[in-house]
Amino acid sequence: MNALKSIFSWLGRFLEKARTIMLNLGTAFVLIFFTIVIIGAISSSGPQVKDPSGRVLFIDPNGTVVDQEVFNSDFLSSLTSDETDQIQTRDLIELIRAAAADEDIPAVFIDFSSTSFAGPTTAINIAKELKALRESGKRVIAMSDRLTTTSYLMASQASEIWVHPVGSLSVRGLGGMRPYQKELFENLKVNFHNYSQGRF
Amino acid sequence: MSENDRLQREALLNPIWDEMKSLMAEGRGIESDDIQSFADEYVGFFGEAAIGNIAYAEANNIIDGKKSFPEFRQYMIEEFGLDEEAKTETYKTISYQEYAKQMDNELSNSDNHIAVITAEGTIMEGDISRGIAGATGVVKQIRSAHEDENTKAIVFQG
Repeated sequence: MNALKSIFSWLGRFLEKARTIMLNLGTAFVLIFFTIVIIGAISSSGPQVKDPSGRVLFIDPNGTVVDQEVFNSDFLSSLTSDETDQIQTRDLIELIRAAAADEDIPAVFIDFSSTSFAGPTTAINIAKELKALRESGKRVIAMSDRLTTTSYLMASQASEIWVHPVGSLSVRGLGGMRPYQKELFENLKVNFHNYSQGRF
Repeated sequence: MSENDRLQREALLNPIWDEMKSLMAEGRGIESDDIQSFADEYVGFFGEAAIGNIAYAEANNIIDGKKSFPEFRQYMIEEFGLDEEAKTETYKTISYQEYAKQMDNELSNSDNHIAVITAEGTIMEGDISRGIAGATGVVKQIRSAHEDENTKAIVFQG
């Protein structure tokens, strides 16, 4: 009987100790959490926004200019795939127009050598905005070490274009080719049987 | 390239190229033909050939001139002043990302909205992804636009 009693009283003391330790640990964690949150909030308050006045605005979009940014619905594939950045046409236009209206900005420096465009018409739209920017009286400077057809189209809208002495400059126009293999297959004696329905 | 392929490609690309050429020529104060002959006489990317291209472009007002990066930096410092805050020697500049942060982004509070829906790329079944205007996604956008009472018009941009 006595042995049973001592076992239960030991168990009771053990549970009491365990509960105190758990509670203390929990309180400590909550306190640490709040401290971190408060320190974080204090140190990050007031994000440093650079005063643009008197500064040359540098526009060098790195990625593809598209009409609408597309987000991958699959969370994992958006983490793993190394797709290039997307810049929305309307954001770029808004930026160029804001720069044109901004008296505090002495000039705009453009370099579109790392920019690609969803299509040639997108490129023409941006070029026209740059043209309007220059016509607004803003000095536009283009400098690059490589200019291709579309990046030259942007640069040509600037007030001045500078190219690196050993850079490259290739304005070659538009083009494209698609291989048609009808004769190849005829020569290889490959027959195609095309089953299709409807009028084409 | 077959005659037919050439025909359809030229019909599509020539008007776009003509517009590009005239924009380039207007920007530089030269003729469209000058751009065309520069494109036709293109010699190559590398070594002497590339330098030849740049020399030709400079002589024909296609570009203003050559500047290496240090030369360009010095030129910009002379024009716009030295940036005292910067850690390395450079001119006063601000990146477009930083500039965009301090732009006012006022969203309209109007009850009358025009919904702009873009379809970029090939129209296919499924969700929207890069270069694919997925039907499921586009249909969802059109539905949510026309079910919204405030939408007064929908612009569908293909």
